[in-house]
Amino acid sequence: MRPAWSWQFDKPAVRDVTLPITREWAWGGSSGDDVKVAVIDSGISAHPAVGPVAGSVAISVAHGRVQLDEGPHDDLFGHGTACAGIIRRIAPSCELYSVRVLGATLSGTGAALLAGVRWALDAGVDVVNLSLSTKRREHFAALHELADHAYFGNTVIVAAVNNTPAISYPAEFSSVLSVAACAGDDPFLVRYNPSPPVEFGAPGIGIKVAWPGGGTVTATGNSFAAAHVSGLAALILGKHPGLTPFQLKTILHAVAC
Amino acid sequence: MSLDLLLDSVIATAQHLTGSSAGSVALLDGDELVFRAASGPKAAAIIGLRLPVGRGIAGYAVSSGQAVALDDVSADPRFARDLAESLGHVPHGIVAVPLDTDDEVVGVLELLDPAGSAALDVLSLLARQAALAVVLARSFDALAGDTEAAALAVELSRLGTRERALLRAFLDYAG
Repeated sequence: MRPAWSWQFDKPAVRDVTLPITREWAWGGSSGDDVKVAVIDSGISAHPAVGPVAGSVAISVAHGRVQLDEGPHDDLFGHGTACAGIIRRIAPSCELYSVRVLGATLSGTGAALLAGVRWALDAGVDVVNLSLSTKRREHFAALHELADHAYFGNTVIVAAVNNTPAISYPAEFSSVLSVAACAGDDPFLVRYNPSPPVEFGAPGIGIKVAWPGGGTVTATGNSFAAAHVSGLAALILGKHPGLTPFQLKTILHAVAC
Repeated sequence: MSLDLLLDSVIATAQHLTGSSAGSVALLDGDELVFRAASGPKAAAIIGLRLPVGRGIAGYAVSSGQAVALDDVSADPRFARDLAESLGHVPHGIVAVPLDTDDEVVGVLELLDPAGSAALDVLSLLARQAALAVVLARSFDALAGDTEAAALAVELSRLGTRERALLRAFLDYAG
């Protein structure tokens, strides 16, 4: 299975400038200590591959009103748990936060997404893993503002790109790290795409992921690739606290295959 | 020309591409997915079945806009239980691809038990064709009613843009 955009990584990487940044320098010895990572998704269920969840909020929208319920919750689809397991595998000591915005109704998904990103920024998280996007123009301005707010506040948003080559927000914004799946299953694999808006590639094709119930499934999708990059961002921030999103992009670019 | 014929053809192509045992297209109706077209041994039982969008991997694809393929779900019977009961077995693998236009997600293309590796990117383009057909069919349904001609003209002009977007998507893929 090849998710959209994965063909971009068939081309050799073009690098005009080589920086003296190595993987060892970037994350050697780090396990993501004290780095807060929010998974904005379908929730996170208890799973041995996920470990402790430091905080949770479930966001729902009814009749145009946004409601936030803090406290433990289950994963409604299984997907958030899979992403959390990927992040935990790469950055074992990071603090995971579950922000559940996908739920029983569709109508409020855009508003819930905005509220979820705001909650994560207010909670002071370092990395936001976002495997969903919206096509709705009415959310463009608010999402753009939030993405810039995150960028200038040193919170990195890692967004999975959509599966069709069509506009989707916030993955198209240059203030976020946009990710698609590329071939390979080394969890530390990262590739750079010289033809953005998709900037980075990571494993997301036929990979084993944690699934509610305690087991694993083999999964394919750009969203799993984003979780890998979120994990790497947590590792790098664990070793180099205070890096800005543009410094993180530079480091990932430098160590990309 | 009925929408069902086109959806059947999209499912048949997707099934051929993936070597799947069954396929379906479900369309959004409020917060439910309604199976509109299906192939496979239990196709007749599935058509018309309604599922809440807050369930299953098809619900996830619709909610997130992300295509997902899971290869080994038989160990977790929570997967599409209603659907599994209609089919008479729990599928081993599921592929769910949202049917999306530039503006909205209108449903989901789902394939069960894919035999070999297939391209989610190609399936996504197929799903986009199905989505555009759904929007087109709805416009014609509106035409059959009492809708103002001006509103229809706007709707049809939008379709032109979407078709150009589809062509661009194919060209991007080819190039």
